[in-house]
Amino acid sequence: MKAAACWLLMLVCLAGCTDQRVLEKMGFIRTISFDVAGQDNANMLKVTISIPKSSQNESIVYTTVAHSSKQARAVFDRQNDRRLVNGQIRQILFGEALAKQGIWKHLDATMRDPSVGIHAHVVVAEGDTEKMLSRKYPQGGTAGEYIDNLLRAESATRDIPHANLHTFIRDYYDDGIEPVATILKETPSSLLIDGVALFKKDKYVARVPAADKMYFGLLRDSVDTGELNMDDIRMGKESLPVSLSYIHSRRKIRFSSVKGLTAGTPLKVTIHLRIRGSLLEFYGGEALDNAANQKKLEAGMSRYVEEKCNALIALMQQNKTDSIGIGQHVRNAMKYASWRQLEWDDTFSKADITVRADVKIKDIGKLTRS
Amino acid sequence: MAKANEKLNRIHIALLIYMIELDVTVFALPRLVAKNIGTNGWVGLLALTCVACFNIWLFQIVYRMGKGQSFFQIVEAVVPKWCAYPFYLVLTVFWIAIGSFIGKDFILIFQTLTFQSSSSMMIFSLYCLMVYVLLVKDIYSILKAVTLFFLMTASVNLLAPFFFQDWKLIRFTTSLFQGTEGGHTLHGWTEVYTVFVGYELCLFLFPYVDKKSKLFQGMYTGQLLIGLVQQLAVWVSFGFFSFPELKVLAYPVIHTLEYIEFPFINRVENLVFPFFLFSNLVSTVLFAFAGLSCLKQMFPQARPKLLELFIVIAIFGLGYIPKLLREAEALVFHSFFVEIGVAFVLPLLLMVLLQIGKLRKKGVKA
Repeated sequence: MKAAACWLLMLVCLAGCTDQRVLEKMGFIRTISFDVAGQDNANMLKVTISIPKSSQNESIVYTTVAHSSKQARAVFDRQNDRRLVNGQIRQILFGEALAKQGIWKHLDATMRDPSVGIHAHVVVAEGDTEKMLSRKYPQGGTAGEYIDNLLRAESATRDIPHANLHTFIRDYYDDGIEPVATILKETPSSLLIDGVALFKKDKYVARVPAADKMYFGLLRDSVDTGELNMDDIRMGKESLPVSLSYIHSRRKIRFSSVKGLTAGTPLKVTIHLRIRGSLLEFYGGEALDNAANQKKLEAGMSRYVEEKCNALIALMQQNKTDSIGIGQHVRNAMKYASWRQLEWDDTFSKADITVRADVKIKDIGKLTRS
Repeated sequence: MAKANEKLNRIHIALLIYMIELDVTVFALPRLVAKNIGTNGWVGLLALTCVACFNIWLFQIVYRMGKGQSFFQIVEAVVPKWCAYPFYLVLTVFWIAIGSFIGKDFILIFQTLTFQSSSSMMIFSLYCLMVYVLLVKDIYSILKAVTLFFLMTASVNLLAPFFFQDWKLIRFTTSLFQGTEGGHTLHGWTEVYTVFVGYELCLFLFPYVDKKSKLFQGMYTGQLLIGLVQQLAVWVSFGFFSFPELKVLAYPVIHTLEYIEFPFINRVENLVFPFFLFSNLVSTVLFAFAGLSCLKQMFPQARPKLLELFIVIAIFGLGYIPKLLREAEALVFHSFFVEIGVAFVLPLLLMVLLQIGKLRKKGVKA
């Protein structure tokens, strides 16, 4: 009886060998990019995949034009000598033109696949995505690895908001905030994070320039670390560049009564930013061991942050996209039925939004004057 | 081997209740809550936990009224065997079917993540083999295995702090029970209640406990423990996903596991998810145990391990019915709906039988 049971067990276990995944026979897609195929193929998609070779220093790049990502995948399967799998996808790149048309159907197909991890970065690429993935970069490794390290290093500082498959889809569905993605641009020697792409649902509608991404970060969420570069701070008669490092910020949103919003009463919003940081770059002549001078500088920095943030809010209002989630706060102050009735995009675009910044210097480093 | 005078301990009973209730339904729990109860559905889930405790209380009344008599003793004291046996048979088939559908549903969900090309029945046969290995043991040995499985499964809860960074209370919204799909219906709330199915099997533990066992203390503790873990799953999901997103995610709990990443390993869900095998295994084994108890009552002279073998073959055979995930899910939900009815009707029925038995005894004395 026992022998029979052992045989049975062995037979059942051996049957499991039908579903093998031999590591050496797998082609792990690291990066996938989607772009419009060009004017001649108006409804077609240009899909590029990058598969790192086992040496991890080189990658195989395939490109094809197809109706959908699955069709493109079938073409790649016919080209590649290893079985393609999605389990290690780290970035999903969308060409700028395609992102402006809407990316949901491609994201939906990616998200539906349980083998794709939700940590995959969502990126808007400025330039030719195929070229971007095919190039060798002096930073070493494959393009996919380089992009992955670049985006992780940036978002670790909260300099740019997290923009992965999870956050994008979460905010896509949320009715009080819009999704964002990182913009990546090609330069002769490297890739460059060139700002933040603002989406309205799944359509790329506006961009925050790279120089302002930190201000956008302050508006979108609390920031735990990062660097704030300000190039035109008024301090008395002087106008000078200042840098705050290791900043720590807290955001508070206050708004007027939500009664009457559905009837068209404009909303008045005040965003309070409390920013603390170490002053590690200062070219002014005034001594900073003097508390009065520090306060003068703080007032100048607060004004500068307010101006920058107000400009970003104007950009969002112009494009009717609430990328910083004011809607989540307003929604929570309203009755559910009233919120559903409210055209939030319109209300947001017409709202009177003011930023109040309170910047304070935590310390001034090792020198008291330049 | 179990000692002849060994009785169940309340801690073991609590862990058993936890493990029976933790089955395939937990993967979809946050979606079920969002879809059927709406915003801040955790409050509704809390209320449903109280309903489950009320149901346990009904069993407690039966236990007290019957002075610890087993289910079969209570029934057969009033109902003749020819009438009771078909009833046992129906319950046996039903419980075996539930056990089978839970197992097959788990395998089909498992296959969305891994072993996609393998035959689901081949994997299910391994599952059935594990069910057999546990079922041939006595309840004490099963409980020892359950304790070990609990430690493995419960450790998944320690991963909850991982989501804290991307978790926001604001996503809960301030509205209560809004945004459901199709309003508030009894069907919708019952769909959520399916996550509690399993505690009613305590009925078959009556012969294995005495006063020292504190069966019902263990049951309430188990119910509160699983209630706490279910709340944790719902709280994590409601703050981690946006509310409309929750309503479209098939298995939010698995989805949250996908987010866990360590510097040395990613896609941790492939390692963590198999732990849930054990909790589903316990659910199947305990439903099979309930069926086995009925069969043993009907066929007391049966050869040892024959009935267990028959049950496991039946579980395997019934596994052929759901071939698609949607079929397995529909079968699990439909059978759980019936089981909820059984869980409420059975103690009431037993109370009536006990009352009749009492009246008959009084009549005889008079």
